[in-house]
Amino acid sequence: MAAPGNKSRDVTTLLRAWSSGDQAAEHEVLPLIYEELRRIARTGLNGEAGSITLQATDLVNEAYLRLSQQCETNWQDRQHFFAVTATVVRRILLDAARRRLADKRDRRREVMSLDADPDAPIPAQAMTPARAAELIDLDSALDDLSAVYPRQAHLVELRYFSGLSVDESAAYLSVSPATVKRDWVMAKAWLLRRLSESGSAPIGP
Amino acid sequence: MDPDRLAQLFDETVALSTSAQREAVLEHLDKQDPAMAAELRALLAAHDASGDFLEDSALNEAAALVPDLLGSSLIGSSIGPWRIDALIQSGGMGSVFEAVRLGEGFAQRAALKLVRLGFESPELIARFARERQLLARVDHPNIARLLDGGTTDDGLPWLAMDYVDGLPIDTYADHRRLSLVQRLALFDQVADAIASLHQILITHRDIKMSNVLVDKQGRAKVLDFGIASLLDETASPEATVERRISFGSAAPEQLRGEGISTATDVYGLGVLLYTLLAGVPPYRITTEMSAAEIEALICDVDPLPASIALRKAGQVADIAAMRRSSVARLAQALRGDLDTILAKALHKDPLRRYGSVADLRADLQRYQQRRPIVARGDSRAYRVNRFIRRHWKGLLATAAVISSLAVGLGVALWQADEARQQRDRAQAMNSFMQEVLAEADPYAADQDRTVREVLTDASALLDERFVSQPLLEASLRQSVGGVQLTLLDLDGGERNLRRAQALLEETVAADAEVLLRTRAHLAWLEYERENYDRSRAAYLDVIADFTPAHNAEFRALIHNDLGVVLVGMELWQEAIDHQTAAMRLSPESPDRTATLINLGHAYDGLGELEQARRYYLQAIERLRALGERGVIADLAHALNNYGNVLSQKGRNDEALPLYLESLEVRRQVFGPDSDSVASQHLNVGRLLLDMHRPQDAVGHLAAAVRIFPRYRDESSIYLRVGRMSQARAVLLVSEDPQERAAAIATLETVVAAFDEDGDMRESRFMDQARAWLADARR
Repeated sequence: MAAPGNKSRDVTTLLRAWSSGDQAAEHEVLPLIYEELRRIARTGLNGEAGSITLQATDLVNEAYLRLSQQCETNWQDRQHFFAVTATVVRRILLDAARRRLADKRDRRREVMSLDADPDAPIPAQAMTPARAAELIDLDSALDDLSAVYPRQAHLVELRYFSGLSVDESAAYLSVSPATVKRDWVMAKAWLLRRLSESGSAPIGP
Repeated sequence: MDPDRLAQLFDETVALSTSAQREAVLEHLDKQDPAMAAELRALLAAHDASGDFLEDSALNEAAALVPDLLGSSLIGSSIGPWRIDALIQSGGMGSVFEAVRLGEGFAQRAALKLVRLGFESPELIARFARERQLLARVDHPNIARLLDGGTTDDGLPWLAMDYVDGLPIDTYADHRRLSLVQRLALFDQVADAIASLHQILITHRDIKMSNVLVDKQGRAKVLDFGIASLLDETASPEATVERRISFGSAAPEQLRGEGISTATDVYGLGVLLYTLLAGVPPYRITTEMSAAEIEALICDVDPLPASIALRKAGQVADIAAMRRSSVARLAQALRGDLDTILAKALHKDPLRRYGSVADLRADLQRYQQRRPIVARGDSRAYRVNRFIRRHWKGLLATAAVISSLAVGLGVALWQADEARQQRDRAQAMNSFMQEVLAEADPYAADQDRTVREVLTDASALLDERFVSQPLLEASLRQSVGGVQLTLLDLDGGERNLRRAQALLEETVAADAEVLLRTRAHLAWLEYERENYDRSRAAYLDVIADFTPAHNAEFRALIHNDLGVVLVGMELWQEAIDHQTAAMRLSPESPDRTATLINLGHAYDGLGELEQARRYYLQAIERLRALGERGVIADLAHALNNYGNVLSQKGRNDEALPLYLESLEVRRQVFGPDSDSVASQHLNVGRLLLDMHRPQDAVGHLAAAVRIFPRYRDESSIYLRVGRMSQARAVLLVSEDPQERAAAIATLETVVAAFDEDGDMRESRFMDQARAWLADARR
């Protein structure tokens, strides 16, 4: 059973289970990653509250390191982690976007805790309705891309949602950096064309 | 349109440095494949406009958004009549909040469970609905009640349950430093709750520490019916649902995706109890393990007995302290019955576990009341398994010996062919044994087949496998039959041995020694059937056929075995003759320690105590020198018998240390609660009574009386003598009127029992009981 305070063991086990196709394990591991990202986002890398000036990859690495404390991990686990993170982040953004649009109808969920609890969540960045619409369109365009060019779609997840560099992505996908660069250019053009077809404005970061 | 072709064209074109070059490619393509050209044009245009599209990772944006997704923003809002006050935990499928319902002059607290935002899959919503449906049927003081339930405006289901302000059961027990007895009482609440679920046909399936909370009043509450299920639900839940359960507490059948039953909860309770008592879980799952390794561990490897796992734990002293005990006392308490009960609850095979939670509780109660537990039968099977593993090694060694003999024979040319045949035979025998051994290996999958069954199957295999190889078949039958005799499968053994004898007698080229061995086994069979005369005659026949060419060690063995038969017949001098012949034929063999003991026994029978003492002493010295290589159990017998001789000579002070050493050896060899240990406790206790040390005798006699009933019924002379001796010791020691009255009553019962069966063979014990009773009444 999961000993309290020993998340790392579960994460590794779950990552492996997840990578071998166990969808249930994904459901278990996602909340842990959420939590870790949230904590880092709140306290920053050095544990100082408020400083959220992180490089994207540092953030994931840090989350990974914290989750895998006290447990021997290998490159395989690390790779699984990036893949899971990409899925997590993509879902976070999609959920937030959906709720942002839903908020127009339902203000209830905007009620926030206002006490000075140090553990209180940081306020969500205001997401513009336009950005929310973009993210929803991007999500479905990415699904479409995946149907035609699965490798390229996976690359987009790794780079855009998990923050991997070209070299890291190449290592992860076991292809050359040159291939990654070609795929990346192609995938971006393909997505942009799909988004313009569907009438969305070009997307900013 | 071929996407690979498009990608290739795009790669080539986008790399061109000028728009003129691109345009040339596009125009060329227009003529061949206008649709492809149009697509490529659009992609290139998009590329030119892409700018920093997707170049900044969205990770930071997501991280900043996360708290909302955890549902923390719901704090302070209301769901139904409930106001959400705090987040208790976020799990895989939902978040649990502390909520409060304010009414006229009351405030009810609840744990409100809500499907995680963004995870509202139809499957999850259905599971939530099921949990609500199951909870509504439950009403037990140790199960968190369902208070309320509904659906949010967004269509998300929620449940409000009893808010348990408590700690996970193991944390609670450690914080309160609960003793073993208190832990068993706490566990019983949980078991009662689960039993009540089973009565209404619900299985919990996820029993673990964090799902059992204990409040300040010490009341345990079972939570989380997330994967609970109705027993009568015919549609088996999807594999993913089953695999959601926690690895450490999952039953083998859950990991294998096999049928779930109430036995699955018995297993879950077993894991809970094991950890609660021993402070460590039955399986140590580490980060290095893959899911497959964990599955193999749980499905194929037996957990260590809790008493042993405890000693191997890191903070063993802390674990003991948190149970208000010492390491030695805690291990002692776990050893025996509790280990056995846990092994039965944690059995790999659901059918071999307790049939119900009620049975598990009943055994735990029996344990606490010091009554024999039901799980015993199972552990005896385990011991037989261990025994057989040792024995199979012996068989393999036999095969190997034959093999090496065969190689050694190949000197002369005319012998070479025969030697090859023998070698081949030995190899075939070896591999057959390996095969059967794998079957009997308790670590292999089907570990609980008894060795008897394995041997019976092996015998059936022999019927068909070696039809054209009578010599090989005979050798195998002789070996298998011999093991069957040791296991007291006399009928099975006899069939194989008689068949082997017939085959060998029909075959001209038969190995005379194999035939002799077979006949010797048959002679032993008669001894086991207590046909002493026939056994003796059969042995004498075998001996008559000996020639000097026969292996000396083999001949010594036969003389020794005949000697044992003769001791049984109380033909002391004849026994001594054959034991002496065995000593002469093969004086250095480790087996001669048994011969020396038999000699001691025979001289003891003749009344020549000095001679007996000399042989016992020799046996002990040899066994000590042999150490692990000797038959350790023999040392226990030799020590006891030697002590017995000394005691008869009035040298009790010298006998006592020998008895005590024998007790220690028996403990190690047979286990602390074995019949053999009980017998030795009885001997030690009675010796101490003779030595006028009743204070010291009491504990030994009590131990004997405690253990015997597991192996012997009330009419057993051992148990009877144990009871009367214990009563005598109590009467000599205790001033307590109640204890004395009970002891006198025991003596009266024993005397009455002796009178009733009137067995004169035990007259010395009967006289002693009468004398003690008269003394007590005085």
